[in-house]
Amino acid sequence: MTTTRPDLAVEHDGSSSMWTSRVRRRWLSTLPPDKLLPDRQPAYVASWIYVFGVLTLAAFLVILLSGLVLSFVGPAWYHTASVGRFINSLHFWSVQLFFIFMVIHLWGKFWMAAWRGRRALTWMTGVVCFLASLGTAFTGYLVQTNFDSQWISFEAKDGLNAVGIGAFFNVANLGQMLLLHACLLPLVVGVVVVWHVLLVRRHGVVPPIDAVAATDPVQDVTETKAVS
Amino acid sequence: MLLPSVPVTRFTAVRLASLGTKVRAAEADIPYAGSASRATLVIVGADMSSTIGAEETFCVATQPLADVNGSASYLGWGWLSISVPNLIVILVMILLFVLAIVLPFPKDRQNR
Amino acid sequence: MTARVRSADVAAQEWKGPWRRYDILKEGVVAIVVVSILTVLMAGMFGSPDEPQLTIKAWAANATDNFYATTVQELAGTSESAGYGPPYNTASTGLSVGPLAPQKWFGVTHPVDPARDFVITPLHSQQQPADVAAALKRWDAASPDRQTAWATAFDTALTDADDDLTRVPAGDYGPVPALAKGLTAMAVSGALDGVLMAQGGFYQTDFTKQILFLGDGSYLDDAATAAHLQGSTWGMMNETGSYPGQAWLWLYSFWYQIPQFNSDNPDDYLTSHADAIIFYIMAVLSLGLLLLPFIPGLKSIPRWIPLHRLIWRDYYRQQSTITSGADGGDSSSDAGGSR
Repeated sequence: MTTTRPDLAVEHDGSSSMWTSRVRRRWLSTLPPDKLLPDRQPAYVASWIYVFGVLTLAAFLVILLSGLVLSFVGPAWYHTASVGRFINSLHFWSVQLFFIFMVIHLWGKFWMAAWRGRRALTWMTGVVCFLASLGTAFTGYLVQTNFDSQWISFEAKDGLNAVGIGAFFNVANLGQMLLLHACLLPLVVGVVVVWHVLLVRRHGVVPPIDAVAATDPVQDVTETKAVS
Repeated sequence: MLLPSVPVTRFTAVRLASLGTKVRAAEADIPYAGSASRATLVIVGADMSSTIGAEETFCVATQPLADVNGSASYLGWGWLSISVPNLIVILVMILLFVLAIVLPFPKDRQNR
Repeated sequence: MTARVRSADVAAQEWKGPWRRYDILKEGVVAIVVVSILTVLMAGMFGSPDEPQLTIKAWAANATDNFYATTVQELAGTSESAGYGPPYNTASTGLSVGPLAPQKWFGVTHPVDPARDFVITPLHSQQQPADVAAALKRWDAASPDRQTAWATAFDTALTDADDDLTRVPAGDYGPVPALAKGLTAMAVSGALDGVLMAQGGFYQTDFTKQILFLGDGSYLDDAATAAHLQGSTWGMMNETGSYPGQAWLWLYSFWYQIPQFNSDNPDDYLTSHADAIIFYIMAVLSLGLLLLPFIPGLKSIPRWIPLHRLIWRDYYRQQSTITSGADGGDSSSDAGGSR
């Protein structure tokens, strides 16, 4: 559904074919401000299960912030500094909370069959977030520079080598794992998370199974064109 | 020619906190001398100190409430085995999920 | 049009029914505050695990017999690293499952020659006592076949004597005992940790050699067993100390527990290929999770087990009120806005 908002889509002379104008038009038609930052949501969004998505996001933020501090001082700092140990503990527990909330969110979305109504991509980006988070956590465990890292790298190499991944992903290479953990993978997770959230904003929260719109049933039959 | 084995205790941070503790049942010395000695400790207490090697000890910034440095206890049935901390996490998750779908959600204050 | 089709249209369209107030930014801020408080509380109460790293020095000091025996195995080529295959060496072709042999396909990308990298090169890097220096010279001058013969003979003899040097019979072991003694002394002094780390250079972030060497012995393995981290005891999920581990790895860990992948028989196909097979199983299951919306049967489970009727009970209650109201009387369509 597009909303004509001429005040937001002013195009100046000869600009209609410009990339910028096209992107802007597309953006405003797909994600107008009232969808991006809504002040309302469908009345059926009334269950505590819905808070686990935002709780996951919040945990992700705490992970990032605590991780930033750790990255500022390096991976061995926390072994010897009590403040470092506390920051490490923040990072550890925010990861635990992150996975707890994310999995409960996944359970909820599964039982709601939240992929309905052209929301398959929302589901899929969510699963990619989950899988990418697993990989990010895995590299995190590898860069603790303690006994746990030693054991995990020793064991994990077998699984990864068995399928050829170990040829270019060396769990015993602290430099590689640290950069993946602190740079590449959080970026991947971040990008997919943003994509996931924008898809939710775009399509709206999925209606209940077997929901009917509160309009005349006859109208429902005729107004069947799907909306992006 | 053999070099002498040096006994090393791994979990040597036993600083009983003042909040009431249960003492660890046993501690394994020379745990990695190639023999099958195992550290199977049940630690419930308030000791939070941890060790770097056998001689350094440091504390976290705040007074800890639980000793989580000893080996966890494990529950097992056949080849099923789960650590108590993991079991707690999973049970909490199930509880949260059930509560989330069962507990009533506040009604909207004004209708549209 | 059937109710199911109509419902699918409803799901795909902009919601035309009743709304409720929603402050998205407030929700976000509240979530951040709640999670931050929870995290700070848990961090303060429980701290985090940090089991000190093992060193080669500690291994050699605490499990001297095992260190010595492992050194001999490296020279003999009977250690796990020596026979590993890609990506470290070509001693084996690695695991293959049917036509899939990616371990072999990608080849040796992190070359490791255990005898040279773990023993000979480190010994050469430092001034050694006279007997060790002489042993090194003798080793270097010998042919590879001769070296293997010495090392294998000593390895066999030591294994038969349960790693007890005093029970090893006299034999033609060449310089191998002296080399092993020299490396053990180097390890106990702490020098070997540094030498393996530097590997002749200055900067280094690759710990492959150290972890392979450490893992060839029993010191690392015994530490992991003590910490309940072995793969066959759900170790993948566990954490050191009494901390929660990675409970989210339960399904990956699960396969290693079932007897088919955990047999005592080393020739058992499933057990010997477990690492590869289980990885493929998890890849398929992950793909299944990803493509769930398209998989018939699986995607209908939420309908068959209607947990959703609990989640959306208010909505369904209203709908049935509207329906019974519509059946009973005026079919007002504007029922959504009233409660």
